[in-house]
Amino acid sequence: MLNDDELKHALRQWKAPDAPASLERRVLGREPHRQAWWRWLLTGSVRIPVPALIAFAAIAVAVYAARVSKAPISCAAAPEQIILAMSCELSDAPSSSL
Amino acid sequence: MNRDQFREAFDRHKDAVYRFAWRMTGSPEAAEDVAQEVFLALLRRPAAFDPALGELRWFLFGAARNQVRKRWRDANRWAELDDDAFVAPPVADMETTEAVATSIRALPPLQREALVLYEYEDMSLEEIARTVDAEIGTVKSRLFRARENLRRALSPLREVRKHAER
Repeated sequence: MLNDDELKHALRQWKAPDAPASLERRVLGREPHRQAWWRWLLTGSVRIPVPALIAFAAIAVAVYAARVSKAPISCAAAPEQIILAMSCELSDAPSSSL
Repeated sequence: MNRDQFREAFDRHKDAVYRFAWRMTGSPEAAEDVAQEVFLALLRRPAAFDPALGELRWFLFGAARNQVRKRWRDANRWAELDDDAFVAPPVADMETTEAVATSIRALPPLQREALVLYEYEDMSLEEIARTVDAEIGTVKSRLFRARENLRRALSPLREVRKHAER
């Protein structure tokens, strides 16, 4: 085991460097300055938490899916679907009404 | 804190904050990131520093310590911060400087910060206690254990010196 003096001497051998010049640029180059609000609209950015982004994307997909499923069937787009739908309605109808 | 005061604080403390972060992280890039975060936080929220509670130096070291701790936590998600386990690294074939650096970096984080602040930043036990938000007795204990671990880890150096003297 090293004694106190030996330990002290050994510890003093380990020198740390001073802060690099780039630190000054990184800190003082970012000093806040007043920015016009309209400029922020053009250049600004916002940070969105990932869970919020996922939730937003899920809601958007759900809304889109709901709208697509409720959309009327277009005759021009898929005539065979109309035929299928009509045949389903006929087969589902009660026999007394025919 | 106005622009001139911030500039003065930056010029006065930047090297000490960087050195502390460098010794704690072992990485020049990480140390620069930590120092940058510390000073930008002061720039953004100067009111966070209350002179009535202590010196700016303590405040800056406390902020640097929090940044270092955050990085350590990200890198060691499942490790306990106050774990006292110390495995002495093999230093027999190393130069003294490298052996000291390797051994200090192998210290548990709480022991390491106490040792770095005391030995390299010349802080008193009371100043360290304020900086790391702990009791003086706790800091004293961490420092004692850090030194004991280093005495043991660096003991091969003594053997190396003896061999050199022969």
